[in-house]
Amino acid sequence: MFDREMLPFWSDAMDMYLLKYDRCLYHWFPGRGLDKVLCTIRGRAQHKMHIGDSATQFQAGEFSGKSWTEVEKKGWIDKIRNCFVDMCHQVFPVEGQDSPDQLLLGLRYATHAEVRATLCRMHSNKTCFACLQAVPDHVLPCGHALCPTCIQEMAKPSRFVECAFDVPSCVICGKHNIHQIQLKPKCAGVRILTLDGGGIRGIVELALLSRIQQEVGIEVNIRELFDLVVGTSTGTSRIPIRAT
Amino acid sequence: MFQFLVDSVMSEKDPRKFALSQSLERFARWFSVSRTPNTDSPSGEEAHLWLYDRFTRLCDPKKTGNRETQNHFPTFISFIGSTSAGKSTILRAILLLGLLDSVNFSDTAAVINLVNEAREGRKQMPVPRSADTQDSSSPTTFGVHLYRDEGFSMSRPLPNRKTTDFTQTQGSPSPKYPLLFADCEGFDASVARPSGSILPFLNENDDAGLRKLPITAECYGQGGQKGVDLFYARVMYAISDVVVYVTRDDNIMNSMQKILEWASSAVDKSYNQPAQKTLIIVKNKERDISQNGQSMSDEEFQDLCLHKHSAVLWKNSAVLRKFVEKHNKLVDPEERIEDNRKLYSVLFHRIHCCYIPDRGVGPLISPERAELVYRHFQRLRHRIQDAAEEEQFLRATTFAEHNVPAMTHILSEVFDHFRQNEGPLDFWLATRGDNPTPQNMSEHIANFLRMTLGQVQQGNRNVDQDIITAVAMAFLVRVKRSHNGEFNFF
Repeated sequence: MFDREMLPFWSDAMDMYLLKYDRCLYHWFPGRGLDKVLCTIRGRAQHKMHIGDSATQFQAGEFSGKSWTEVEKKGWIDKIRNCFVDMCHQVFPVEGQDSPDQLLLGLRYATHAEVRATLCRMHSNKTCFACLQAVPDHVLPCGHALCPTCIQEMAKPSRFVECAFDVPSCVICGKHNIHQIQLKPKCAGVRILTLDGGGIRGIVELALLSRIQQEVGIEVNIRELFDLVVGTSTGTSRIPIRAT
Repeated sequence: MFQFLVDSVMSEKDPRKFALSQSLERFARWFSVSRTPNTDSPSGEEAHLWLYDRFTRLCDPKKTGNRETQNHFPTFISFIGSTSAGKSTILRAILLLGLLDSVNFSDTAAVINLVNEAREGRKQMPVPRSADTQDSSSPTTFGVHLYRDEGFSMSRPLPNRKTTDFTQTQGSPSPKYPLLFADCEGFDASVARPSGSILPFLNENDDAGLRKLPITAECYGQGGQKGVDLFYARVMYAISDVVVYVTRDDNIMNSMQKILEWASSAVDKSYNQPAQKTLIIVKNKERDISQNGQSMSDEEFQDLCLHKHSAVLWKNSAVLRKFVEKHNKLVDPEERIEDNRKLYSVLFHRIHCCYIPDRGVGPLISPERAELVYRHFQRLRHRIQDAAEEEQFLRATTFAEHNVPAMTHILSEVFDHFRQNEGPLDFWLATRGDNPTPQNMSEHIANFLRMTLGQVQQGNRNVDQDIITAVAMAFLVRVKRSHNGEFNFF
């Protein structure tokens, strides 16, 4: 299964990293008392000479980044395959044991604790570090972010609020900070409230929103009914008013 | 038929029709640089970049953002050369041939209809020079105009694309590769007397999508016409995949020097850019096309252009000499420029040469001559298409292809950088390499590697084992999700 389904993901990721992101590690000192200059070239293929941070300093020399020869690439693949197979054995259902879902959940927590030293220093709003396959939508107080699927899989459903999940501690860094994440119900679209500008006339919108809340009569602040509130001109100044 | 087609790309004789075509052509303008007197400026003038929303109108006319254009990967092909070299005429022919792809060539009525539609301005095409002989050296193009090709190349998939599964996302199943032709103002164009009918169209109220931005970088803003040419060269070199250099100069060495000077002024001004450019040199109105009584082939012409120079090309050019000296100081000994071949390879990924025969003097063109001219236009079009496809293929295999939303961002970065900064543009930053938006698992893992291995580069501990564990776990989670809980791993 690994070679058929997972290996292409890793091979492409490795090639993409080497071609697009791998930074030349060379640095030099342009003169006495001057700061170190780092080469900014990304990817061995693009490297003709070292180009400094300000892009006005050059230096002759070869690319000195991560060197992944074909043998080293194969070595990495073997290690990932072995690790994957070990993990599969740990969650594979054996009669009398817990369900695979429970075993996988336990293994995920254990694995994240193992790699915590590396992950806890990094923050990304583009990649969910808990699964490496989705964009994270929900940021925890520690700054780490998780995708909705990981929240559903790893956090506890709230006993009191519908579609909400309680996260007792961050999966990535392990910091204890009880946090509740409200996910959108599956059938919900994106709810956006837009507030117009218009100077003093903006007060009309405020009064209208207050009246709507009053008429609806439920004990829910109107801001909680929207995923995003945007405004123009004086409308922007009313966002915090409504939000509070 | 060939006579009709060749005539249709040539000069418009009716002054009224010519004026009408030019008035319509202003909508094709993409950007231009204007110079106005300013006594406060040290050079006595100031420059402004006039930027139109032409790219969006051509590539994302519905302004969907990225919904419909995520799988559209445009290729820029720039037509450059001296004023009155015939850039607009040749580009008109190339676009016309693209239009003809959609009809059966033997269906004469359909071909004539299509060509007439184009001539009447219903298809946007460059306007070639007026037939007015008094006006033979004035530029026809002010700034840079952009046209979208309507040939088959728009929807032809690239063979063995490495990134097919990355880019094929929901909502846009088949990738498209639109060819965008940029018709540039000729070198030293503003020194020549501009056509009276062109400049008045440069008007702030002309178009809602127009932005007027000051050019603050001294080398462009205060460099006079040379500064303007330099600005065009650097922008066009940075974004083009294929550069078509049109020349009428019979002195081949002179032409070669000019195009190499153009490229050398721009090549160091953009870096971290994986794909290089293909250069196509087109000798327009070639009269002496025979050697030993035989027509010269494109290969023979290429040999004549590139390899039959008695001296190195930088010998008589101060600009090229400076470039070669600087380059040789910085690169390894085996990468030094010692001969013309090496100079070509430093500036361009590949160079092709071809020519368009002269249609002859007088209003009537013989059928044989017309067919010969037509065949050469056709060959040039195929060469451009092949070069564009090769560049796109290179981009695809190096994860450097850009779809319309990405290209919109890159263009905005390119214009902003060059109008404000004399230094080189870091394409890695312009393409958001420091903050990528992954679309699939491979891209998420690559982003993860970028961040974790970036820590190592900053002197932190070895993270290899942590990467292996995290990636293996991510694969296990993926298996669980994609197999819907059915754990049958082996």
